[in-house]
Amino acid sequence: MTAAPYNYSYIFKYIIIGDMGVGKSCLLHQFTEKKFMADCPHTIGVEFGTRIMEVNGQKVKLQIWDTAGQERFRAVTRSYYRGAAGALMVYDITRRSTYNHLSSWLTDARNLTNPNTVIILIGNKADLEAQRDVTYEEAKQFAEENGLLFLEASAKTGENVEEAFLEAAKRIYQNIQDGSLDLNAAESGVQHKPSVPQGGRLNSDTQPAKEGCSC
Amino acid sequence: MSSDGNNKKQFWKRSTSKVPGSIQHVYGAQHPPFDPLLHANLIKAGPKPAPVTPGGKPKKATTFQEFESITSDAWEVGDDDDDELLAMAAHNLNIEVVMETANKVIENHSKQQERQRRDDETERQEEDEQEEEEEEEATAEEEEEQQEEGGSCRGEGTEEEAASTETSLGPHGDSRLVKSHSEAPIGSPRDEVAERGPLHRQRSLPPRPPIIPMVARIADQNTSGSPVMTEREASRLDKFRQLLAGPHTDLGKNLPSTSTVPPPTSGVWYPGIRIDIPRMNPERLVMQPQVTEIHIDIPRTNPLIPLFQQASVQEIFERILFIWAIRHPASGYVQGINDLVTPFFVVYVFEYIALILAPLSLYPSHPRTSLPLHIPGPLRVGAPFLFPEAPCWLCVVVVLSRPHSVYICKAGPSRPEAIDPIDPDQSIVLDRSTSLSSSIGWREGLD
Repeated sequence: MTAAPYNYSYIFKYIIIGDMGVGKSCLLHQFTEKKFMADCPHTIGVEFGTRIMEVNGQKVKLQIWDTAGQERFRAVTRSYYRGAAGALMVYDITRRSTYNHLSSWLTDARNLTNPNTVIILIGNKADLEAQRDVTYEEAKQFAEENGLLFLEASAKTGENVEEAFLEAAKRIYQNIQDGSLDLNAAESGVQHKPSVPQGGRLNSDTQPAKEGCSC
Repeated sequence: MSSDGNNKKQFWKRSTSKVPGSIQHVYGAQHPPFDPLLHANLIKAGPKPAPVTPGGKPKKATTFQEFESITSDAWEVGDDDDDELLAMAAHNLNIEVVMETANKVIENHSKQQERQRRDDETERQEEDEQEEEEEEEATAEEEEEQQEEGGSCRGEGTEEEAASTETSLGPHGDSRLVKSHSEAPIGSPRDEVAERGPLHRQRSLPPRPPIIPMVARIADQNTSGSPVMTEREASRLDKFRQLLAGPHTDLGKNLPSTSTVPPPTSGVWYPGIRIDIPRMNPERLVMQPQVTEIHIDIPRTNPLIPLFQQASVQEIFERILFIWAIRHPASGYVQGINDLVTPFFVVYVFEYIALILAPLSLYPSHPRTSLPLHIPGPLRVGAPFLFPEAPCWLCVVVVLSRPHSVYICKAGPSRPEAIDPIDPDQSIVLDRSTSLSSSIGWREGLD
């Protein structure tokens, strides 16, 4: 039996983090299903989604880990940061407390991922302009100070959801191109999948990149 | 629950008046040891004729009672309060039998019952004494257990807890919650008014008009098509319901133990506990992150089932989760507890409909869950123990108590006290209801 060639060239591992109820699961659902799930149930532990999208002409499979936001689950979710190529840090523009907690999330993300991990800040629920509690400007400033990408998005309308994932993917791809992200490094969060089948490598499809790790 | 009752009934119907073999007291083989003084009434209860049942079914009742009294020594002392309820039922029936069967038998019966009632009353007193003793034992046990289990954080909010008074989760207890977060749906003034509505309605009911509808309702619940409950059972149920409707029924004192509750109402029974809510500064309460967390999770609990979007249902969930959270400060609210409440709520909401409202068939139901789309009313009856809210709460507490204490034990040597002091009298009721009730029986499978 011969396996068909991959229909994508790279796998990027993403994580989505942020306070509970900010819409992490909804963003993922909107991104993978293109649908808005109103009152989507809370996440316990982690959930998972994938989608293949085109980044700079290359097909890339995004492997997205959606974590539980409640403080109680941090001990569990922290173990999923490892080896992420991209992190979506989400807050709710209508709830200031979720914005105020960003520094704690950022600390976790910095400590538990590798230095090349691309972190994008997402202000979700941008459709609820009337209830806005966090201005675009201050969030933008926070993002710049900390070297983060930034977008305001709405999982409900789908606005900027695609872009958020794409922006992070572009940055990761750029890091690969300019060599700052070493594909062979442990926990880079990226796997290269040659589009032409090459023997046994095919079977490592779902296995994490750290398989070949020397440490 | 109703099927439970049916099985029981059929079982007893088949049994003859004679029991195979001879069942006698085994001295020294029971705990607590047999005390002839305490058990005198049990022995007496045997040969005494059972209360006469209207509808010409005295034979069955006699059979049952005889069997039970003969074998009563086989059970724990606490389980024997059935006599007490029978006495209550007899008292109730006494009026009714006279009314309904005013015929030639009446004189015999009334004389007989008059005599018997006197017997029963003395018996009841004895029983009460017995129960008190038992309660003392249980209290001691409970205290030990509390120390063992460990509980509430002694740090934060100790003064408040110390200052807290025993409050039932009734309208009174609620009013505190009202203060605590005025914007929240929980216990808003509207709710309080609405909540009192049905109580007034129930209290103002004439003593016994709904007996036929009640039977019909219960019968509606019986899907197995078994015969309609006997009038004795109905009157038990009705008596029970009257007690429930009473404004300040203290289940610990006014009513017998769980084992005697008519099957369809066993759910109503559990909330014979009082919930003491630590008195806390309202501002601080609102600031508690867990309140926000609960508020976030309530609307997305079973979002696709319409019933769970009903405001009164969400309020129940909110109170259950909130009270659980403040009583378990070591963990607070943890996402997923709301999902644990759900199955209990579904069970008790069906019971609520069957017991308090009209037959279930009157309500348009959700096709996949067969839950009603909407249930009228405030969905809380029977202050100070609220049905169906309080049994849900209790079940969740029981289910979570075990894993919770394990977690606390593993958390570290200085484990905080997670459980606030419970009124010792009330905790006995909790203990009893949890160990004896059939619908909570599955939980024993977890242990």
